[in-house]
Amino acid sequence: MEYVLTTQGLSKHYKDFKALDDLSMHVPKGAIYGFVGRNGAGKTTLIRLICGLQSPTAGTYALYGVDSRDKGLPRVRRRMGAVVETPSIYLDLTARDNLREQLRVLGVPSDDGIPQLLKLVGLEDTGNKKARNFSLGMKQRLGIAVALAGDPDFLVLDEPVNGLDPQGIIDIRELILKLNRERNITVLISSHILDELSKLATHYGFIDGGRMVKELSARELEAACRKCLRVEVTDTRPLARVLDGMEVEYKILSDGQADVYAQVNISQLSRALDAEGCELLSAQERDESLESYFVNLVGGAGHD
Amino acid sequence: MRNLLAAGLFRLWRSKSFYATLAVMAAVGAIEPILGYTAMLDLAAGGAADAFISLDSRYLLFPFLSGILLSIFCALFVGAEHSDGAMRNKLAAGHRRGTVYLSNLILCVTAGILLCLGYIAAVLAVGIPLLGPLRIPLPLILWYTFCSVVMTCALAAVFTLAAMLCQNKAVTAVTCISLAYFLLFLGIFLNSRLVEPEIQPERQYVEDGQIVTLPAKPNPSYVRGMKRAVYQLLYDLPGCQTVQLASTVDTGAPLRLPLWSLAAAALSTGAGILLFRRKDLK
Amino acid sequence: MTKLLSANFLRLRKSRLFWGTLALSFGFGAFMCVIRFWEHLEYGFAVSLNSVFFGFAMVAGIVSAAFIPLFFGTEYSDGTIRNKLTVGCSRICVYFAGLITSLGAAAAFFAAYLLACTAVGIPLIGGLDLPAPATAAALTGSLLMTAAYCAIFTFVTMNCSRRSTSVVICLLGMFLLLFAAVYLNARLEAPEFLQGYEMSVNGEIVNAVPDPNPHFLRGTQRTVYQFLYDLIPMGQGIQYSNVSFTDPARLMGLAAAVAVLFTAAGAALFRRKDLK
Repeated sequence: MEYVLTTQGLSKHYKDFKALDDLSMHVPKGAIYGFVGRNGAGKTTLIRLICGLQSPTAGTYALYGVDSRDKGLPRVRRRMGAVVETPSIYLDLTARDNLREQLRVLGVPSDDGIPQLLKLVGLEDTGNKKARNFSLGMKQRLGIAVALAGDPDFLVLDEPVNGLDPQGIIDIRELILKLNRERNITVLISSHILDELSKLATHYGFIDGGRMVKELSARELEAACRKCLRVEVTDTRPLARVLDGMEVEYKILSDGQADVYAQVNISQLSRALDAEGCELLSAQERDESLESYFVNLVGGAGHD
Repeated sequence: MRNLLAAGLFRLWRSKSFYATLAVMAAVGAIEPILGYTAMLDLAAGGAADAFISLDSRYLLFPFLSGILLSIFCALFVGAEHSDGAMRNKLAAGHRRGTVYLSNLILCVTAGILLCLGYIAAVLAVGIPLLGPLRIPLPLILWYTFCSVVMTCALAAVFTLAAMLCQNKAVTAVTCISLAYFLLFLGIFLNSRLVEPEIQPERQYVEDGQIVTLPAKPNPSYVRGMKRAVYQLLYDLPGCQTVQLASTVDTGAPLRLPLWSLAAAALSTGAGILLFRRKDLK
Repeated sequence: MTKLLSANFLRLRKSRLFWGTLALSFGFGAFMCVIRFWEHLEYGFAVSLNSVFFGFAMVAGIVSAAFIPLFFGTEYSDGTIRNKLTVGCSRICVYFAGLITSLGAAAAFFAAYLLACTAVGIPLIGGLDLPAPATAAALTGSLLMTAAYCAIFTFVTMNCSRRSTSVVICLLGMFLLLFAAVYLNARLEAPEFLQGYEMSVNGEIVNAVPDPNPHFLRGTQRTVYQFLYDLIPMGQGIQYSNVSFTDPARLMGLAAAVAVLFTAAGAALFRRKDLK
């Protein structure tokens, strides 16, 4: 698989505090990578490192395969755009002037792309209004527009829906999906709003205490979180035969335990097992959401 | 009000800008007599007959400093109320705007008095062993100290006005610091103009062995009329009056100086509360 | 680098702070000329443009100390410095673009002041009464001195993540420089000998022997004081504004050294700085 961003053993220490501790992550090309963790888990620190705002204490990262110690990295950075924490915009300039400013920084001679960019983020009607007087959602969208000014193929968004109203959240989500599908932009989103993230992400990375706890794709996560029936039997071999006969998906966990991914008739199952000389000891319906998956993963009670 | 003050004092005791400004005051207070002492040794080594430097001039310096340091403190301390959003919390908790304003004013005034005391304590503690006690009689010193502290408090009121009405901390800082310096320099300038004598006295000089006498004549640089009245008025304002306080210490500064300070404080606070009540906050 | 400069100058053109300061510099120049003219009318002093024309050297520091942290501090307070680094601009380029832009702005303020002196001053109090080389030296020197100021304040602004803190440090530092310069000036100007008295005793003139002034600086002490006075930009400002400099090449060399030192140190620190 081709990766846009990989990190190897990335660490960042502030005096005695380890904000990032030997973190490894892989963002595949074309993905919407949801970067999940509690407040203070190290999400923003990682983003600051890959944006070049701070340098790692140890470890390296690679953007498009170019190592962070490589002299060619600045040229590769030109292909990324980022909104770190708060939107980075000049508050005493208009939306249009903010974009003109960024186009100058990027060395784009023409301002022709600005109306299109403003339309993309829904700020085409702001006229001479200064960014200072924008609502939070508008500032956030202008921040994204500035990040998009250089036509990046990798977009990094740090908590993009923090503090937005429901409509604002929907707007940002639609925008991210559009960018990903229509322009094939790889997106890295950090968030602790899991419900929102689950509507977007194709890949997940779970971070806690500065360490990567688990990285997996949305499909793997779905499988892990799927509704299932956990059954306990005296022997799983006859169970397998019975379930194969019923043509349902299942997973054997041990000699006496299995997860069944279907709604089965318990009496029917019990009779069929009886016929095979196996007893059904218990059956429990399990339902794991992203949230409970996360809580299970990072160990429950928060240390916030 | 009591709650706001308690909360504010709590913040004051933990405020880095307060301790930093206080440390500067105390440090200058300690260094000044040491500088005086070394200069005295230098003079004695150079064979000067009257190599003596008194503590008085070192003591008198504090109002020159207190205004400037207080401008920094007020801008940062009150400015943080805006930038950190604490102002919202207070208003949302149901405190009236006038109360919020006054509590901040009282805190700035307290800080101003403490800054002055910091200097005085340091200059006396270091200065008396090195240069001996103050030579100016005690009542005059007390009067000078009182007038200077009142003036510092009046400046606190002016800086509070600026800091409460401007929501951008950096702009507040520029405004307050520049104002403090402007008033100080204006005072020095006005002093130089107002001390010009009305009449240039008779002068004698020697030319080719002959004594030539120039009769007394009116001084063209003497400021008169309306202009003098305006200059005098400005010269009495807090900040500007610093030079006047120091130059009149031997006779005691006129009563109108602290009265002007109080008037300026009352005026700026009244105007500040009125404007702050109508201000749209973010 | 050119990209960053073009972005900075675009923002400068849009900045009310910049135009406001520019107008203030022009106004200050005009005001100084009018004051001199008025003094001439009132008191009959002979006045010339010399006393006004180079006066901006006195205030260039104060203007830059307020302008630079306010203008470039926004990069931190609005977070826009991130937009530059994220897209791969090197830190050195960001630093130098900031320095050059502030230099450009300071030169513009200076030009506005000179323009006011020319437009208002010449009709009112007449032209400059100074040889061309001295004029050129004072102007070039003032510009180099301004560059030293810009280097110092850019050093502070780029390495301090809080705009209000940069403002306080720059303004306070500026006034410390001012006091230091005034103090050094006073010490250096102290006469070597106290005025010998000329008395007439019974019609005869008695010349008292001049006393050596114990406050007069001698030897190494004088060299050190003079060096410091020439080194700090405010000391140079006093010398340029009243055209009292004797060795302009030395002053220019020192100003350039200050600018280079602060820029080298500032850029080195900024390269390693953790940004948010």
